[in-house]
Amino acid sequence: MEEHLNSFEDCLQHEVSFCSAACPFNLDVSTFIARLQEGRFNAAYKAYRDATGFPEVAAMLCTEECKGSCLRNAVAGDEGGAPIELLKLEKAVLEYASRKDPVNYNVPSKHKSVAIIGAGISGMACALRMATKKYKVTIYEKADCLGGALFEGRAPEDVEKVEADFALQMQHLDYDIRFNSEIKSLDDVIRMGYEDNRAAAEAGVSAVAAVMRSRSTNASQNYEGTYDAIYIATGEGGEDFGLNEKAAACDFGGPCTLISHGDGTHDTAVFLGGSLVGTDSIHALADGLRISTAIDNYTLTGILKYPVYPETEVQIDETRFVTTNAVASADSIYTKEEAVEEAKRCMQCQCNACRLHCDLTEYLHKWPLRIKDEIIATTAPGKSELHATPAVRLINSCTHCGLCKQTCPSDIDIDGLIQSARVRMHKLDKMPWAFNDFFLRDMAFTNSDAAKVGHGVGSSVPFLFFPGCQLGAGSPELVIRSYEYLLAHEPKTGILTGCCGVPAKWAGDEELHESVLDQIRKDWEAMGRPVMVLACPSCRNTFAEHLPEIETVFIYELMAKWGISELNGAHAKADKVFSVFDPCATKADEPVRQSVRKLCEDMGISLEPLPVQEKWSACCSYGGHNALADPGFNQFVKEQRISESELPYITYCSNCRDAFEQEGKEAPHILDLIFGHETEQCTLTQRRENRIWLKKQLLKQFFGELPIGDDMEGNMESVKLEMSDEVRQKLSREYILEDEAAEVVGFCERTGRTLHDTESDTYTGYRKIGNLTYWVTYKKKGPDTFELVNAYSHRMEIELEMIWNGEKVDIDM
Amino acid sequence: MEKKSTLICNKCGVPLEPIKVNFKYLGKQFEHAVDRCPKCGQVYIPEDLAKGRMAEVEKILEDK
Repeated sequence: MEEHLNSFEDCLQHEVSFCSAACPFNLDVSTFIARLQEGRFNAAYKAYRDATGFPEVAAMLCTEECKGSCLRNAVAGDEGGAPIELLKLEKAVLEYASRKDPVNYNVPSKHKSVAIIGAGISGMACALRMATKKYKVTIYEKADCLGGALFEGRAPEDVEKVEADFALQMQHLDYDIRFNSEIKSLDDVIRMGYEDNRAAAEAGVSAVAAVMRSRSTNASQNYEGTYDAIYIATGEGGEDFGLNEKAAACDFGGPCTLISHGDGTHDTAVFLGGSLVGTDSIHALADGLRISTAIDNYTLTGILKYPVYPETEVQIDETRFVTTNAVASADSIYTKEEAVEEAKRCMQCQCNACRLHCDLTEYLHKWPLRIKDEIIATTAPGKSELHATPAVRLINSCTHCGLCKQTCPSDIDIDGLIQSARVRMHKLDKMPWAFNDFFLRDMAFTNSDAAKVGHGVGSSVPFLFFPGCQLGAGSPELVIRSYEYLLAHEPKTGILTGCCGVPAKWAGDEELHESVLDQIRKDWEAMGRPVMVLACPSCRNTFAEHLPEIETVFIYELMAKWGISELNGAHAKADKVFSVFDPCATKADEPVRQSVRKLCEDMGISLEPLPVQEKWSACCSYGGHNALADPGFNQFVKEQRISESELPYITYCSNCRDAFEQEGKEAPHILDLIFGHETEQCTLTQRRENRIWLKKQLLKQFFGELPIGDDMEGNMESVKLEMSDEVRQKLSREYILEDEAAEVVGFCERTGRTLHDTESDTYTGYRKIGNLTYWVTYKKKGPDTFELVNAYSHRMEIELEMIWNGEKVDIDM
Repeated sequence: MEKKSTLICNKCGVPLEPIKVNFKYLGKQFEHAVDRCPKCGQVYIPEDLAKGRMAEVEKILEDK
């Protein structure tokens, strides 16, 4: 499990989009666009202002670096690359947003002070953020106005816009701006900071006062208590006080350094940024914002680190994008409608490869990182009262189709993590038994003497047919016909029915799974280690992973090789067009996929490919046995697969066939077509009876053995139960076997523990069989004959009436 | 108006009454009043209770 968890460190979910990474402000384009797509201009304005500080100025200075990185360049429109017009969208937001006043946050003072040298755009950006965070801010500007070089060569209306933006964004903030204050030496600033803070401390009015009083008593000698940080943003060719050179010698990741005072416990961090260090205006603005974060980090942690512009490793599958051209506009500014339309072209690039393919993440609306966290919490040792266990059902819902790992650029294996979580849940005794109970009982029955056949021909056989547990349950005739076919081509073919043990694996019970595998291994060895001929792709996966020593081949591969022309179904359904539905377990199995297509071709069947198929095939819903853990998800998966095409499917896994046909989708098994057979849907009880019939038939037809006695039927009660077809179907839907209902009726009759409905003259009673409690309502028809009117079950256990009566003894239930 | 139950305990011949019953599931125990024979204690869980509230509680305990 640890290995799977570690792989999540490489998850790219939180990698920003290409445009966000290219933007000097790392604007959260995804949020900005999502709001705009809904026509929420005020909300989009907030996202833009939060990123840029001064949104009007940012839009004015923007050099549209995002455009070059936009994936729509690669997905060319009619006129070549058509990246999203992000700047035009930003300008539309500035135009149409009606609520632009910044929030006046009620934040307590930081008790820290900052000096900013230069009131250009970079210095102002830093001042904005520092003052918002309630630092005491002092700005020294050599001129008599704000803006610095920003206004050079600008039209008067632009200058007005900038000034208005400064005034708007800083309206709630306290800061001290000192015009006409050219700084000649950094010592002057440090001294002024010390004197200001000292004076404030003595007056007891400043937020910094308490700090100053608590600091050094000999401060007059070393200026301890001066500014915590200084940002030098004096513009292109401006004064750097020799620090650029000094900073280069330090290893803080950029032009910044520390100036010590006194004992060195209260150093001043000094940053250089903006045009002074050679950036253009837009990056100067961004520098100011970033350096404010670096100052905040420094004062909180004592760690000095120059900010960096992050890169992105996001990976996107471009093939799924449709080409579009940018929305044209008659004016220089989009109308509201045009802006929304253009925003809708944005593909909001985020690595979501797994979410595009995984049914479970789609159904639960959960990202893998969250799934991982929920699994960690759920599988932690200790009682569930002590911690949340949000993923119990999720862990038991995964279909284990493997598409997550297959599609992930970082090879993260959610499937593997969930399988290991199943095992851990079982070991911790936290697995709700109800999720897997039916399937485990079904496996036990299939592998019991009542249904299992293991027969070789002679002491050593070249082939051993292993049809799997479900083909014989749903279509025992197909097993017989397939075995006849194999014997006709290779008379020394043995047969072994039973289950490969995958239900135990999905229940997380490694011990039980291993015992099933061990029995298969023993049977195989006893028959001279033959090549096993499989019909079920889930069996094939189990063999490949857990029994690699056994060589396997699909019966479909042999049929494609040996030919099927002599079989009666060889030209069946030739008038129809089908799609082959590849089971999820055949993803890595190109030969079988091709064999099935060849068989279709041999039968003259026309095929149309499914939109997603072959190596990208997803589960039909059966995988992972989620039908009892989450019936809603099970249904969702079925509907997803069925909706992939209106055409009937050709299946070659009996579970796929059953899943689709239950929903009314025509999905014959390839063996049905080959043998000209039509499998009818059957109830769970019939599936058990079919297995018993199959055993008898195999023994009688191929090995001349006498049919086994009635004790194989499994019904321990002598009651004869009649029921309408409606009740029969209900039982099957609710995973109740007719034998179980008969057992409850027999028990009720034997013990008299029933309730009598005098009006309908029916009797109702219950019995706990295994873990489940079954209820039956029936009518008496004869001495041992009853009509079942209704049956249902629940997982909760009822306290027995003997205990209720105070007779605390185990009664014979 | 709710239909009056016509069920009687087949052993004791008396109508059922709502009486507390103990239930157990996944190691948790709790009690709830359901129809029960006041003499022998025979319990009746109708289908709508089994598939309604009872199934909800089962689901909650499974997720817990």
